[in-house]
Amino acid sequence: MNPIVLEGMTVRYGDRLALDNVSLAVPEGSVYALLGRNGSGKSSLVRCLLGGQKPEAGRVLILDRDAWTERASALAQVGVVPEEPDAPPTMNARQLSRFCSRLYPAWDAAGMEARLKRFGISATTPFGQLSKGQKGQVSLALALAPAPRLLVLDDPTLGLDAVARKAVFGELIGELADRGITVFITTHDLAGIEPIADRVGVLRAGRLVLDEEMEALKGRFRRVSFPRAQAAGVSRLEALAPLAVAARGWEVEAVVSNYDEESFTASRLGKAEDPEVTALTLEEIFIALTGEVEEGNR
Amino acid sequence: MRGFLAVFERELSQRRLLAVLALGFGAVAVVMPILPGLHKGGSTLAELRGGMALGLALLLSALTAVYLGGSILASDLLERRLGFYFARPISGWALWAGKVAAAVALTFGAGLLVLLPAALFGGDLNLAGYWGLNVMDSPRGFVLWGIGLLFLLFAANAVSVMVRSRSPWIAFDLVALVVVAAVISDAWDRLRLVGIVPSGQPHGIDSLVWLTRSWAVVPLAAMAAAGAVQVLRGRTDLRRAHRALSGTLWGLLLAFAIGFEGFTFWMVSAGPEDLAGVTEVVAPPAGSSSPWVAMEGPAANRSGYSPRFLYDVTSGRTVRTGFSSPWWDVPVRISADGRRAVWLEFTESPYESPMVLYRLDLEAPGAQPVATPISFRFLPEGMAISPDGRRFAAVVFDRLTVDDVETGRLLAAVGLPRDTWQSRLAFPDPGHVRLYQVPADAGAQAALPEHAFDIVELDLATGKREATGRLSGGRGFVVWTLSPDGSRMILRTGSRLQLRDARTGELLASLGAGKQASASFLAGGRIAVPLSLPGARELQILAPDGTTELRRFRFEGVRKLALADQPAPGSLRIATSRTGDPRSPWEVRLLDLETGGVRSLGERKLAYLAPLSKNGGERLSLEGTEGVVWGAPFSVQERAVLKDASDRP
Repeated sequence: MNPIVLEGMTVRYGDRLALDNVSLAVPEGSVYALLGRNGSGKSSLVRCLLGGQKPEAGRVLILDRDAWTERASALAQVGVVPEEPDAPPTMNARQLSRFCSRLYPAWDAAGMEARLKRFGISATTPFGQLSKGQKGQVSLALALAPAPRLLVLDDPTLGLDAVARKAVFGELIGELADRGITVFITTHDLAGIEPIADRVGVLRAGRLVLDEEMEALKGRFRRVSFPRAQAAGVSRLEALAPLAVAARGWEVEAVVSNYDEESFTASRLGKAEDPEVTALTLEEIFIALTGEVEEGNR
Repeated sequence: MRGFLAVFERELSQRRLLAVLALGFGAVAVVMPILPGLHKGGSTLAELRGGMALGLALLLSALTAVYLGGSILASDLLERRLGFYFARPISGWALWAGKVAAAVALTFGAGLLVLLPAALFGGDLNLAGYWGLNVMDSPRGFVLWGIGLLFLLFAANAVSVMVRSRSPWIAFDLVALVVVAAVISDAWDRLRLVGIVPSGQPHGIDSLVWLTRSWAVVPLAAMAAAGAVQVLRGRTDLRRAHRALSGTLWGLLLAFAIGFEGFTFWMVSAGPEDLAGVTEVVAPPAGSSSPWVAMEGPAANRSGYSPRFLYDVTSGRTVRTGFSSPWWDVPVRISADGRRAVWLEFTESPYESPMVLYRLDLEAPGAQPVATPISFRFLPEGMAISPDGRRFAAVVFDRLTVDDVETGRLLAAVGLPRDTWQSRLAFPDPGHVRLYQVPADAGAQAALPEHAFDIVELDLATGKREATGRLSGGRGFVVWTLSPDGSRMILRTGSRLQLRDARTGELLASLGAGKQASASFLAGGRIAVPLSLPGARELQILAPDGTTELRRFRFEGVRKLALADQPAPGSLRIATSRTGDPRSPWEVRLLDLETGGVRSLGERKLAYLAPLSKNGGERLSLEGTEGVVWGAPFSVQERAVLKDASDRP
């Protein structure tokens, strides 16, 4: 069973289409990173996923339950870290833990205390008096305490400093290693998520333009550089599905999305002098996919 | 349930300082009366403490209801904190119910906590009649208080969400409010105009208390349901919550308003056949041959509504002529010539606006009721229409006025002695009004069953007043009927039926004894006296002096005899029943008063205007009938109004 299944999900605000027929499935035990620029529809997708909003069309299943009609029962096994920490500001972490412990069948209060200790957060400081990073960490601790089967994180590192970001991902990695839960995360911190994501989805203007295993994704994206004198070689890149081609000084640089070493070596460009082929980071791939590039170059 | 309890406890805990505030208010109520200068007015310390505590409890609980209603959901929505709850396994119902239950507990708890110090330190909380809070000593008072607080709570939530969302839907809210208010106001006005005023209002009808209650409960239920839908459908988005709330609230209220409008249409659409019994019948004076009869009675299944109708037995036409109620009972007057009926109606607001005199010309085909220019600010205690239907006399307090019915022109106005009682008016002829009044100096006897009426006659042409006699010796004048020429009256005093001189009050003849004795004037001044004998009925025709018997008709085997009309001065139509069951066909007979001849006109099915009985009476059925028949009050005499003139010689 896939813990998250979206089928043809469409969300519209007036005339504006926020999500257009989005379908995806998150396999059990995987870490799914949903990427997208601001306004691409990530927040709408997460709202629908958590039953906070009813999609105009399509179906959202979370742990095999309808997210809109069976939200409460589905969320008993889901940990959620919202984009904006939203716990009541007068409650401290301990009170929050006590409140939540009544809602979940298995609540690890001691584990939560331990996590807060690791984060260096006082359990008696009211939530409203914590820094943004600390609020995010408390939210993460609250999300992990019920031993969830599924963890949904909506840009958990937004606005956090480098140390806090590292702490969040560190905690996440530790949790994954311990329990192997399924994680659905939206984030702009591509460097942070790259080492742990198994699968990546990219939203662009409400459409899911990519949904792929991280390994396969990184395997097929390459930057190819060659001397400008061989500019005619660009036409030979067609088979590699170039996303962007740019001239930089004496060189021409192309990002290809269908790189295959064997084919490339066999091509005439591969046999040319000094073709430089480098792997791309997730961030570079993301920029290539969603950056302001002419449609015709995609 | 776990979610509900968690939310409930969380909300209570978050606002626990409210308890301290409430106890502080309570302490103020205990301490304040001790301060110099405050312990005045003859109240005891205990009363002051109790009164102040109760006042502060009402104030604090009302403020708490408004504050919590306006913040418990709307603030969380506005500050995007509701997502915390929606990201947990808490159902929308549990979230709504938990928050509302906490708000209710806090609101009522705050009020009770204010009372606690006063209760502990000798405050008198039994405050019936004190500071206008006399309702608070009964369960009903607490129920009203509770409903009021819930109303404030839910209304504050609705208004808060509408205002804070800053959504264009606020325009929809305002339009919906206007539409709902307009529909309700329209329905309300129409109900009030026919005298249907629910209990709790001035002149309210107890049996309609459910209507008042529905107006307390339905908006409350609508606001509660709208608040729930706001959470269930709107969830974490304030604008979406606003749409869900508004759609539900106005949908329910509009449905209720339309239902209320429908109920109103149904209520006021009652016709004669909807009457569950007939409580009063006014027929044209004996001697006329008008086919009209006025009737009134409570409408079946329309508790509280007693419409009046004029019914033309020949054409079947019905004209509504206002209503009666425990607060208002002014029957229709039909002129002696049977050509005109008049009645009073409220045109704006019953019991508050002036009453307008309406007229209907009974002989004009298709005539509609016409509002005359004559109106009264206060209900006249005596009224009369002239025999020709052209003049209307009324006594309001100490003033007698006579107006022209068609033009409203004031023909005469006469001041009367103050403190008179039981004014009765009659037109002996179109140029004179006769006034029967208990004089002021007999004030003490006015309350007694036996009293005398002074008789005063007013000449409309000269304005001259003349005391013409006194009507005395009566014991509770129940029914009196004036002869067509206004010279005599048939008067029932206790169990005696007498013929009196209408101008002087002088006793002319005794027409019978016993509570069931009855008599009617006929055209030409003769008097018909029905007599009940074993196995038969007789009809005695007396000369105008009331003593000389002119004719006697005997009807063997007849158990009921109803006087109908006089197609000509020398003839009389009657209806007789051998079964005694008024629903069985009646035999109509034409009596020749000159010769004593009797001619049967065949059997007719007559509609029985049954009196209202304890078990609810029976519905009036007019279909297929050829007239109506009813029992005249306080007598064995039946009256009938028959269809068509084909029997007339």
